[in-house]
Amino acid sequence: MPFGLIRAGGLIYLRLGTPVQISTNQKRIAAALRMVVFTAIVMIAGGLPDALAQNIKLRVRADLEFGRIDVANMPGTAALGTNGTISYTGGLVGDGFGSAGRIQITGQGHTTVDISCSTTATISNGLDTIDVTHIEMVLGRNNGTSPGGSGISPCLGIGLTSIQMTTGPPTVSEALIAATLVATGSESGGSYDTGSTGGIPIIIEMVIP
Amino acid sequence: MYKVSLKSLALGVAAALAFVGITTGAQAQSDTVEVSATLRQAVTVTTQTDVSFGDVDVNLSGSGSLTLNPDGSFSTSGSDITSAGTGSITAGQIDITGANGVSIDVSCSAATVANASAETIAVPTNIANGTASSGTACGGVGATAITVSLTGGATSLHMGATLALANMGSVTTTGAFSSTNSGGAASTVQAVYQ
Repeated sequence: MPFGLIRAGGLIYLRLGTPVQISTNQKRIAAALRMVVFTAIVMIAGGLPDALAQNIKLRVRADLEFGRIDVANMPGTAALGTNGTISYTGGLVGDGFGSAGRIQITGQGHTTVDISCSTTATISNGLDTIDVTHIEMVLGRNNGTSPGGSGISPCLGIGLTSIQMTTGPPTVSEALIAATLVATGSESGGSYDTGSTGGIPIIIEMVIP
Repeated sequence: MYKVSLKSLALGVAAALAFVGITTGAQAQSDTVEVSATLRQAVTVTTQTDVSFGDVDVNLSGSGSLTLNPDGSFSTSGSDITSAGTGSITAGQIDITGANGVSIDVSCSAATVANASAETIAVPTNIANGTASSGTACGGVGATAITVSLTGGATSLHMGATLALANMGSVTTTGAFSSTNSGGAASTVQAVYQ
């Protein structure tokens, strides 16, 4: 009996027998055989984690858009809610509408994952930068609300779980993301984004326990 | 004959266990959410010069008017404006700043001047981009009178006005009249992005 293998309680038990005598002396055949044994051990042990087996993926489906904002020469904020509405303070004025970001978790097996996100971001027009703060998320595509509204979870930083999402079936798990733009009022006009020099995007991390 | 030794198998098993140990740990993925906004300098409206008719002699019971143009020129009609053009007679100037190259709608209201007795005279106003000899009548805040393009992010508007005897029906006392007196009202100029 060359060997046997039993997996129980998450531990792997292995019982080795006496050496196997191979009828050929070709080393390459023996090496191939060892590889087969190696692979068999991994597969039998059920060693592939559920995450890989279920192919769970994190996808960004929509970015944050604050739209057009008129800036007087004084500080102000534009607070974007996960429902896409914007409220302004100080020297910032706009039409009150933007669009929230959206992430999606795909995969099967009803696996629950931890989602964390960065606490700040930066948008730039290549000349000036504007801070993006108060980044927050809400679970569910249809649960958008005003900033700090019901069900909102603030981003705490990468590695610090803000929300948990569970894969299907049958539904796809989604979350909305919003943030607040903080301007000094002295910024030059133009298009600002996280992709320009000096910009820093919002980082979303998914951890599959 | 070639032997697969116990040592060889043990190494394979150890490697397999190590692999299993690694792959059964927590898995992490990350992605980025981009953020964007378009900032536009807010429109500012600043009065540089107020409208002034200077000293005007009139027969209150008569008819006629004094028209002050945006470029500062003036003219009179009727014979009851007996003297004009003395003292300080100036058109108004309003500076507007905003985003470079964008179009802005400008609206403005009429004014009212009053004397110390709160007797009032309605003063229709008009406005022009630059120093035109005639302007477009101000129809009230929100009713676009002119549209200007902010070349270089700024422009200067000029305001004219008309002082008409027909609007002096309630006036019994001559003297200084101003929009700052009780009962008076300045012309309001509003500029908004199209």
